[in-house]
Amino acid sequence: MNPTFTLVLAAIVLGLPTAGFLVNALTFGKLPKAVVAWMGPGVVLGSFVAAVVALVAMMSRPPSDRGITIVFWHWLNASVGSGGGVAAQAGLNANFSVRIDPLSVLMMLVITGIGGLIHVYSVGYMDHDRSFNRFFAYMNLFVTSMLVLVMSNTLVFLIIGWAMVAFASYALIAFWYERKSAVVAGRKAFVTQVIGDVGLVLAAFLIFLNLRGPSGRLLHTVNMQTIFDNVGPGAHFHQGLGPVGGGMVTAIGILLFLGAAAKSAQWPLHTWLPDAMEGPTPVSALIHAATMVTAGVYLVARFHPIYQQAPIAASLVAAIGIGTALMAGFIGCTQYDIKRVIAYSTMSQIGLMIFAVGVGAYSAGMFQLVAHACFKALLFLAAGNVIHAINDEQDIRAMGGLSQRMKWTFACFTVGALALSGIPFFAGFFSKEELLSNGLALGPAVPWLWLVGVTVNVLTSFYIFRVVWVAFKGEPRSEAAAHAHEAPPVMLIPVVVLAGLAAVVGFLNIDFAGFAPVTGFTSFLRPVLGVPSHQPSDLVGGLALLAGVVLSLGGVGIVWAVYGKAVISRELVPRRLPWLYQLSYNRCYWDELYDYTLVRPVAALARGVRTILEPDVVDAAVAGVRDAIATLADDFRTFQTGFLKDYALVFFFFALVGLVVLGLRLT
Amino acid sequence: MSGMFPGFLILSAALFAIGAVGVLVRRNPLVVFMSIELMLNAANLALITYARYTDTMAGQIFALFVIAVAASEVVVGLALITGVYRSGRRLDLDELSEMSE
Amino acid sequence: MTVIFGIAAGLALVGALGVVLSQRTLYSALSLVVNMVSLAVLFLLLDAQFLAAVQIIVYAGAVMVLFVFIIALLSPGAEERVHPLEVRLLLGGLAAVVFTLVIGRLTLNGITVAGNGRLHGGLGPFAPTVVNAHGQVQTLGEQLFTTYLLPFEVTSLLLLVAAVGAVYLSKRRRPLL
Repeated sequence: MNPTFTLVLAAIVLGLPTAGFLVNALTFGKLPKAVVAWMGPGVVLGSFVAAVVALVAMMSRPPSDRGITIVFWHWLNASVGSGGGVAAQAGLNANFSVRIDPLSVLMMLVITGIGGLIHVYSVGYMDHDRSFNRFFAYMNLFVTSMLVLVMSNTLVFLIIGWAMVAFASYALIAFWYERKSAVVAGRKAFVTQVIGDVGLVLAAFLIFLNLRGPSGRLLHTVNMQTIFDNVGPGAHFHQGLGPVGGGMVTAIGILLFLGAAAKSAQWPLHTWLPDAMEGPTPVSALIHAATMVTAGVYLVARFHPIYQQAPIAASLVAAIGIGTALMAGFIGCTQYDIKRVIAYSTMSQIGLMIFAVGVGAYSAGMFQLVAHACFKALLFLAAGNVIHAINDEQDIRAMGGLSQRMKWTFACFTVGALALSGIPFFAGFFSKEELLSNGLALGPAVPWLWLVGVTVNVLTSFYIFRVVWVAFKGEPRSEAAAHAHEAPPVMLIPVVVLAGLAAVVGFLNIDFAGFAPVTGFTSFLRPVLGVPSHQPSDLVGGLALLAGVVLSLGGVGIVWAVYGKAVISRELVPRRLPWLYQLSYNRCYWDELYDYTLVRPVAALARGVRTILEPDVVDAAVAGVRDAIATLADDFRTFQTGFLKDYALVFFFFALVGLVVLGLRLT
Repeated sequence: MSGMFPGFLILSAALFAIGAVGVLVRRNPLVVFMSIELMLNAANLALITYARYTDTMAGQIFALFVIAVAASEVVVGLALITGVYRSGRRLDLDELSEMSE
Repeated sequence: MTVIFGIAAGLALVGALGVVLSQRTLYSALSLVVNMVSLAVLFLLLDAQFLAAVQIIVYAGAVMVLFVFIIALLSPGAEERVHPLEVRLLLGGLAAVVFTLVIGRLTLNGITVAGNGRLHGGLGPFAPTVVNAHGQVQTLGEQLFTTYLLPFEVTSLLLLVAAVGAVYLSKRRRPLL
């Protein structure tokens, strides 16, 4: 690709949201609302246009020429050797360089495209909020940070983006800072993110310290392309990060996944995501559904050369992914807060993606990421319409009967639900079919991991259609629900566009023979992610497809039987299996477990330090030093006569003493 | 010549010591200033002696810098003394003892 | 040569004592001139012709003229009498003698150790024959503008600051203290 042209495009993609943030933040809310309402979404959509141009430019090149590294500026350059070549790559050189290749362009499109739609939607949703400008400043900051994360070509800026994203997320979750629950949720999210950051940073340190080049020399590099090139085959002990499955590469893989798990809300760092729903709904849609939480998937896919060398770490990733998917789906079935149901759904779907990238089906995972970004943003925004229409009520028991009053929203939500459930020909159908068939072909513990994945389908369609039925069907169960009105166009149009995307985006992965250069999603990502080591046979693929669809429809059928026709009593599970119901309703008691094992002991320790250590040891020591100095100072003050000659006399006297001592020692 | 060499250094030390005594004993700031010049000159003598002894230039260069610094010091110092005199005080260091307050 | 050294050293000592012991400030200043000219002679003995010239021009010339000018301007006169038996003077003299002895002992010892009493340690490239063949000023200038360029520039800045400071202090605005 043309370096200058790409440089300009990358600068536009990154620069526009940054400029939007800076202008908005540095005017301290003084900017007129109308300006912000155009500028906030405008910069993101402008960035999207630049990303599309980058995509078109990329597609006009042969697949081998679709990756390029652009250096914006040099920073902390301590590399060995000068000029080009391998020598210049060795050594620390944390320059701000971005990688433009199919994977990063795909992420750029998702972030700016879906992000742009959500920005437009926010103009309507946040219309009455008094912190309108602050909201868009944070949103633009988030888009900037996320773009830094996916575009960076050095570990340093990857980590910077990673941390900035966490900050933007914190700021937006705690956006309504008058609400204590929001502040607490933001803090919880941030602290959890930092645990992940530690993992990522440690992984980066290990890579920096241990990566060796072909000659066996330590490279000490943070350049990600150099890292991937040298991790490579790595079969020799003195190359890359050691032998396949060696301790070093496994440790790095696990530490990287610690970062990914915190960001993507995977067990055991998952508890922050449902609480994060305290933020405004567009935030949930953008950050906690479409983009930030999928950064973990991106990370594993981006670092797949390392995971290919670390089968144990990769299996762990897959197992945790599938376990989280099952657990979150299970919890989602009994929640009553509409946003929390979707949040658990997000966790569950991301678990599937993590499973996919764990078993090596990288492009399948990324495809699920894209499809999920579309339909999950759609679900959140449609839910936002509902919440907005009934005075910020989020409990589905207080809804009902909304399908008549909010026809468009209902239709779009249903499209999202169908796509999420994997009903044929909606987005989720293609992505899950790809994911599960690849999982079946590649899975290390086939078939039981795969069976779990398919089971998730039942749960998925059950919990989402439960929401559809309870919230939209039946009679209104509250005053507000009875008087709900359809959302204004500025909030409806993005939802409709997303519904359209959710309906058709799945077709991206079909290899249209005559549709060059767009030849399907997998081949688009092939220059970066390669091809899976095993392709599912037609029979396996077909079986997976059939099982998935049947189970999804089964879930819908159960909802219909329970909530539609009332053939099965709603009290069946709570009455017959109360422990199961309570386990699900109380979110598997993870929050309580952490509260008792981590939060309370730490709080007790802090109280102990405060009541015993602080006054008796720390304060006493400080006071002692203070008193000693005061006494000494009082004693020494008498020396200060103010006569210049006295000072000179003392000075000369001691100089003489010094000389005499020196003379005695030398002679 | 070789025997003279310690002589230069001892002369330098003696001049320095006399200058130091002047600083300590005299109360007139102008004389104190001259004594300080004396001490600086003594140091210069030592520097140049060692430059000659080691066959290097550093000592001479430093002596040059010392002369420059001494010149600027005299300029500022004399301006200060003029200022003190102008404020109507006696030029006596023992009476200029505001530093104790 | 020894004779010249003896005369110059004696004059330098007499000048120094004159600075400290004179009752009139002007006599102190004139003694200082004697001291400085003697030092210039000693510099010549040490093959530092350029510095000897600078010593005469800057010290004996500019600085001392400034001193004399200020003395004339302020005319402090003989207002201070240094009594030869004053305690401070006696103590100071004693300290000066001790100091000189210690330095002398150290110097003799150091010279014996390092250079066996020879005048040339022969450590550097600038033996007097070399320097004088090349040109005293030229050698010094080369060093000053290459190895010691930064201190040189800093010194020029210092002189500027001193000039500005002197002008500022001499402005008749209000009493200084």
